[in-house]
This record gives sequence, C-alpha cells and structure tokens, in this order.
Amino acid sequence: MIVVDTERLLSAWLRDQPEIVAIVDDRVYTDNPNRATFPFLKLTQIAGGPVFSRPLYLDEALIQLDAYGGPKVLARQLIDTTRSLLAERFAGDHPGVGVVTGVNFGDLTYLPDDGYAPPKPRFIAMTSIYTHP
Amino acid sequence: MAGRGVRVVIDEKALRDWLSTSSGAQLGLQRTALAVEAAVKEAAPVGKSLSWPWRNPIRHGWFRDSLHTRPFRGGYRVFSRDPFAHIVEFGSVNSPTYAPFRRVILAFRGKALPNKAATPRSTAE
Repeated sequence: MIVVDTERLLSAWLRDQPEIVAIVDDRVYTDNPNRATFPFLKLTQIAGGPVFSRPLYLDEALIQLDAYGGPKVLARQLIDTTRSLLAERFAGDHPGVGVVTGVNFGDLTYLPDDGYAPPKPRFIAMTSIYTHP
Repeated sequence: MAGRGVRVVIDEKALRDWLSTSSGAQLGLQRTALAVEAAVKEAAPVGKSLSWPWRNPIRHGWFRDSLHTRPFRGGYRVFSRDPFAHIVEFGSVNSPTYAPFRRVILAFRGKALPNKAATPRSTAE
C-alpha cells in the first residue's frame, strides 16, 4: 500500500483555499524559489513515518511551515490563516489523494531568514499531519 | 467501575533536586545526553569549507564539530557553538531544512513533537 505524499497534498490544498490565495496568490512552495516574490509560504517535511509498519497504512508527517513576509505583520497573518484553515478544514477525505485523520500543532517561532539581505521576516510553525490512503 | 482513579501530584522541585543529586540519575542523564549528541552528529550535514583558511580550506564539518554537551540546571544540555546553527536547523533561502536536532528529539520520543491537538481524528473513511 502506498502512503500519502503529505507535502504534495498540503501544498495543492493550500493553493485552493481562497484565504491563502488572497494573501500569496499561488505562491505555496516546497522549496525556496530562485527569484522569490514576497509574501510566500513554504512547507517542508522534516520527519515522520508510518505509525505502524504492518499494515503500512496510517502515516504521520512532521511539516515545517515557513511564512515569509512582506512586512512582519503580513507574515504573521499568513501563518495564522494557514494554521486556522488546517485546524478547521483540512481533516477529511481528499478524493484521489487520501484521507487526513488529524492535525496537531507545535510552537510558533519568529526567525527572520538572514540568507536574504536584509533579512526577511519569517514565522515558522510546526505541524504534524496524520494521513492514510 | 467508579472510584478506581488515582490522582498523582508531582513535586517538581523535589524531583529536580533528586535528579541533580542522585548519582544514578546523573549517570542516566549524562548517558542519554551523550547518546543525543552522537545522534545529532550522525544526522548533521557535513559542509565543505570554501573560504577558511584563505586559499587552502581545510576546516570542513564546522557544524558537526560545534556540537557539545554540558551540565545544565541539574541535567545536561546538547548544544551547538556554530553561530549559523539556526540555518542548519530551520533552513534559509540558501540552505535546506536539515533539522538535525528536531529529528533526533523525535527519534528519542522527546517534546519536539507537536502535541497540541487541533482536530480530533475525523470519522472519514
């Protein structure tokens, strides 16, 4: 059985949400673009794995959400909107991809990205998503 | 059956005092901290220096070599002395999100796991 690609599911789902489109248009990425337009949202799976090995069915993905401003206030609005949507709407059936059975949240961190000059405002949030096919 | 529950109140100060004075507890904490340090070193990326020393770079794996363990508030702390460790952990425009500390904490069943439930498990099949 093939477990769900949570990064792909989440990025596609977020691009379909009107609240996210209103802030970032379709700029929801899984890697930093070469010539970025701000604000944008990046999501990265940093860890996770199947909850049980047999049957290989329920999977947990630990995702890092990076909300880049714009100004700091826009980065905060973006991360708050994203977490709110995940909490309210993400659980359930996503036809053709899989089923989301739970979303948990970790702490929120403000850590500007100093790879840019000047550093870009960035809020980081952790979330853990349970899925099955 | 009613009345079978047991309420336990943990005296955190007494527990901390015991952990910081008991030789057995200290040995366990130290061994765990060293195991965490070794695991973070294993998970850490090994970068290749392009600039130091000038024209003859030899100092590779700066982040991995910057990891240490020291006593901290009765326990032990695993930390990095690399001023750019946050970039290795959280990523940046020029660096992937390696997250060695969080991955190891998760492997040790630590508290880096998000534990604040937002939605109960749905009934969707």
